[in-house]
Amino acid sequence: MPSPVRSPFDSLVREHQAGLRAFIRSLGGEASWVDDLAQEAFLIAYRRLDDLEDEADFGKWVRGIARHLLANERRKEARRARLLPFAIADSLLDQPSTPELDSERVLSALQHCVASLPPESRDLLTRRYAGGVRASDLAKELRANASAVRQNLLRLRLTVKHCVERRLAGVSS
Amino acid sequence: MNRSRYEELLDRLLEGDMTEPESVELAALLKQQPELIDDLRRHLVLWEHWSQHCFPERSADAFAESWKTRLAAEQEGDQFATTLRARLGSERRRRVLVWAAVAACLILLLTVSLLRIRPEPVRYQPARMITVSGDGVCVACILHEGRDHKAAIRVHEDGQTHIYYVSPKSLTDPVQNRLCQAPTPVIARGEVRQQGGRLALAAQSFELAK
Repeated sequence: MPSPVRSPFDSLVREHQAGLRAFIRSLGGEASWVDDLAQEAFLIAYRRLDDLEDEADFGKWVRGIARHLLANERRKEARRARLLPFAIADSLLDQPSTPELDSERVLSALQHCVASLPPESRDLLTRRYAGGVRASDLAKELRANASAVRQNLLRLRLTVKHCVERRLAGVSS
Repeated sequence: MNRSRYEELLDRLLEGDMTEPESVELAALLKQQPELIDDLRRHLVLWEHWSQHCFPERSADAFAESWKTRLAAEQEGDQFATTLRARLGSERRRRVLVWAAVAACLILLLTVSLLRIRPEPVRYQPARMITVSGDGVCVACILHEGRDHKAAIRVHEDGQTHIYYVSPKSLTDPVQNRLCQAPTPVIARGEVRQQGGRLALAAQSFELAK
C-alpha cells in the first residue's frame, strides 16, 4: 500500500501554496499552468524534504525548486516562449525569507475591504477574478472603454491592498 | 523613474499582458528601489488569494486535494514498479513465466484454429442519444485531470455531480479557451455510454448556451 501523505507536509502545502503560485505567476503564465507547476514543485519538495535544513526557509526553498522547473520548462517547450524573463522572479527570490502571510487573515481582510467598496467596484473585481476574464474582455462585456476599465481596476487594486495592509497591521498590533 | 510608471508596469503584470521589454524595465526598477519588491510580492499574493476566493476550482482546498491525488498516483506507480521488479527479480522465475506464456499462446492458437472459433466482438454498453446542458469545463485546466485540453460537461442533478467527458476533440480554439478560463454554460447533444467507469459523450453538437 502506498504510504499515507504526511499530514505536516499537507499543512506546508496549504500554508505556502498561495505564495508559490504568486511567485510562478510573476513569470506571466496561465493560471492552469501555474497550478500544475506549483504542484510539481511541491511533489519534488516532498521527495527531498530531508534536504531542507531549516523549516523556516521552506517557502524560499520550494520557490527555488519551482525556479529550476521553470528553467526546464522554458528549455523544453516552445509554447512556453511566452514566459517572461526570470529577472522579476529572481528579484522576488533574492529577498530574505519572510514569513508567509496567514491565508485566513489575508482572505478575511480582503473580503472586508472588497465589501466596503461601492457595488459596481465590487462587481468589477469579482468578475475580473471569478472567471479569469481579462480587463479588455470585461470592457467589451460592460460596453465600456478598455483603458478606463484598466485604470479602474488598478485604482481598486491599490485601494484594496492599502486597506488590507492597514487591517492586518491593526489586527496584529 | 516615478511611482506611476511602477504602477503601470504592475498593472501590466497583474493583467498578464506584460511584454519582455517591460519585464526587463520592471526588474531594473526593482533593483533600483528594492522596497518595491515587497510591494510587488504582496500584490501578487493578495490577488492570488482573491482569485482563489472567487474561483473555487483554484481554492487552497482544491489545490491541496489535487496535489494529494498526484502524490498518491506517483506512489502507486512506484509501488507497481517495485512489485513488478520483485516478481521478475528471479531469472529462473522469469524464464518459467516466459515459457509458460509461450505455451499458453500456442495452446490458444491451436485451439482457435482447430475449432475455428471467431473471437466475439467486444461488447459495449449500448449508447443512447441524449442532450446535456451544464457547465462546460476543460479537463486539464479546470478538472486538473491530465494535461490534454479536452472538453467535459459538469452537470449537477439531484444533489449529485456528473461529468460527461466529450469526444471527439473537435472544439474550436476560442470555445476551448473559454472552457480553460472558467466553467461556461454549454449544451451538447450526442451518444452517451459508460466507458471505464466514466460517462463518455460522443458529441454531435456542442454549443455555448445562450
